[in-house]
Amino acid sequence: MRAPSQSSRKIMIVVFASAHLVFLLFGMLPTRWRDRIQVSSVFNLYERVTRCHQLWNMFETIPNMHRLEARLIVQEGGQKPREVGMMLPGLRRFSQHDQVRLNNWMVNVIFNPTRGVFRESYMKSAAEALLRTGRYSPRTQVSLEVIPAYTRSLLGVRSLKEIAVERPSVLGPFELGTLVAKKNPVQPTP
Amino acid sequence: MTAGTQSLQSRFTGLFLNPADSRLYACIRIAFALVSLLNLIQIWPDREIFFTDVGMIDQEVVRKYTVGAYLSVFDLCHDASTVSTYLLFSGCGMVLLLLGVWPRVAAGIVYVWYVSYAMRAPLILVGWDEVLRCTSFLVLISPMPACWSLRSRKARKKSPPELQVPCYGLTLMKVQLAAIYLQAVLARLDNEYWMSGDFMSFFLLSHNARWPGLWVLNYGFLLKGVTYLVLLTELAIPLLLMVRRWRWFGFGAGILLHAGISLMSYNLMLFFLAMMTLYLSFLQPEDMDWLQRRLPSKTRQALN
Repeated sequence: MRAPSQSSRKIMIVVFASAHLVFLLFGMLPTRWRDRIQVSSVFNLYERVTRCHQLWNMFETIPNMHRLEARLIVQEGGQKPREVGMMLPGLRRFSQHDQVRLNNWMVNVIFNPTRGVFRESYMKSAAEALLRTGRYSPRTQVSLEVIPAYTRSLLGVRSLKEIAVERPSVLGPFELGTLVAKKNPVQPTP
Repeated sequence: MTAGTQSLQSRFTGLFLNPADSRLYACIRIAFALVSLLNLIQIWPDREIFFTDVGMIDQEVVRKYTVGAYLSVFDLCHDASTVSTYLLFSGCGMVLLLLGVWPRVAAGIVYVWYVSYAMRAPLILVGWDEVLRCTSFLVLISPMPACWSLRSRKARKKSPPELQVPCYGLTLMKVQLAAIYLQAVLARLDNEYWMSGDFMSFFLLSHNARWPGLWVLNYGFLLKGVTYLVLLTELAIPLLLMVRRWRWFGFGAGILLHAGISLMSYNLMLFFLAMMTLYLSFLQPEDMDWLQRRLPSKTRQALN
C-alpha cells in the first residue's frame, strides 16, 4: 500500500511544482509584455489564488521626488489657519524618511488620479478625528496641503545649483461638518 | 518511450524530486522566520495607522476596490486591541516557525499574515512585502524536515529527522529569485533614464537617498557606469548562482548590490534581508557542513 501512495505523492509534487515553475517563468516578463500574451488571464487567476504577485518593477520609473511634506490646514472662521499633522489616528506629523510605508500611501493615494475614493475616505476620517478633539466646530474649514519637491533635470540642477522645485497642491477647503455628514463629499483631485 | 524521452523526463522530474539536504530547508525556514519577525517589528508601531478603523485606510473602501475576493483576517479586527492581538498571534507563528515547532501550521499562519495585511492595506506595501509574501508561499509548500528544530527527545527517537527530502521547494525559490531580477531588468529596458545611464544620479538626488546633495553632479560619469553595472549585475546574479562553481561570485555580487542599495538608501535593509532569504536556496550540502563545523560544539550537538 505504501508504494502507490508514495508515487501519487510524487506525481502531485511534479504536477504542482511544474505549474508553479511555468507561472514563475511567465512572471519573468514585465506586466505590459505579459498582458499581450493570450494566456495572461490564466496567469492572473493563478496569481490571485496564490497571492504571489509577480510585479518586480523596482525603480522602473525615475525617482524624481526629492522630498515631500504634507499637513492639514485648519481654519476656524476669521482666525489664523493652523497646521495639524495629517497622520491618523492622533493627527501626528508625517515624516517622509522615517515612514517609508506612509510615503507609499502618499504616492499611491495623493498623486494617483485614479485613487480619488481613497482621498475622499481619508478626508472624512481626518474630519472625524478633528471633531473628536473638541477644539473645532463643524463649521471649521480643513484642507490637505501637499508640498512635493521634484528633482530638476540634471542640467537644471547644475546651472541653478538647486536640486528640486516645489509644486504645492491643496485638497479643499471643506467644512468638517459637511465631510462627516456626506457619504462621498470630496470630488476634486489635488 | 525512447531512451531520449525517458532521460528528458527523468531530468525534468529530477528538478523537483532529486534529494536535497534537509538542512537547507531548515536554514531557509529559520532565516525567513527571522526576517518576518523583523518586518513585523517594523510594522508594529504603525499598526493603528494601517489596520484600524480610525487609521488612514478605510477597510470598506479597500474591500470595494479589491480585485477578486477580499480575504483578510483584518476583516475581524477593527480596533487597536484586536489588531495588536492578531499581530502578536502572527508573531507567535513566526517564533514557532523559527523553532521548527509545528512548522507547517506556523508557515500557514505566517502566509495568512502576509496575505491579510497586503489585502487590508495595499497602499502601504513596499518591495520586500512582495518578496516575503512569495517566499512565505514557497516555504509553506516546501518539505518541512524535522531538522534544526526544537523537538523533545522522545519525538526525536520516535521519528528521526530525514536527512534528504525532495528538492522542489529549493528549485522554485531559485527560479523566484531569477524572476525578480530578470523582470526588474526587462521592465527598465525601455526607460530612457536607465538607458541613458542617468538613473543613479536621480536616485541619489531623490528622497530615497541617504545623502542627497549637489555632490552627486561631480560623479556624473561614474554614476552612469554604476547604472549600467547594476543592470548587468542583476542579469548576471541568477546565472552565476545557478552554476555550482560560480555560485560564490553570485553570492558576492548579490550581497554587494543589496548592501550598496541599503547603504545609499533609507529604510531598505529589510529588502536586503528578504532577498538574502531566497539566496540561501543556492547553498550546497558542503556549505551546510562548513557552517555546522563553525558552530559551537553544544549547538552542534543539539542540532545533530
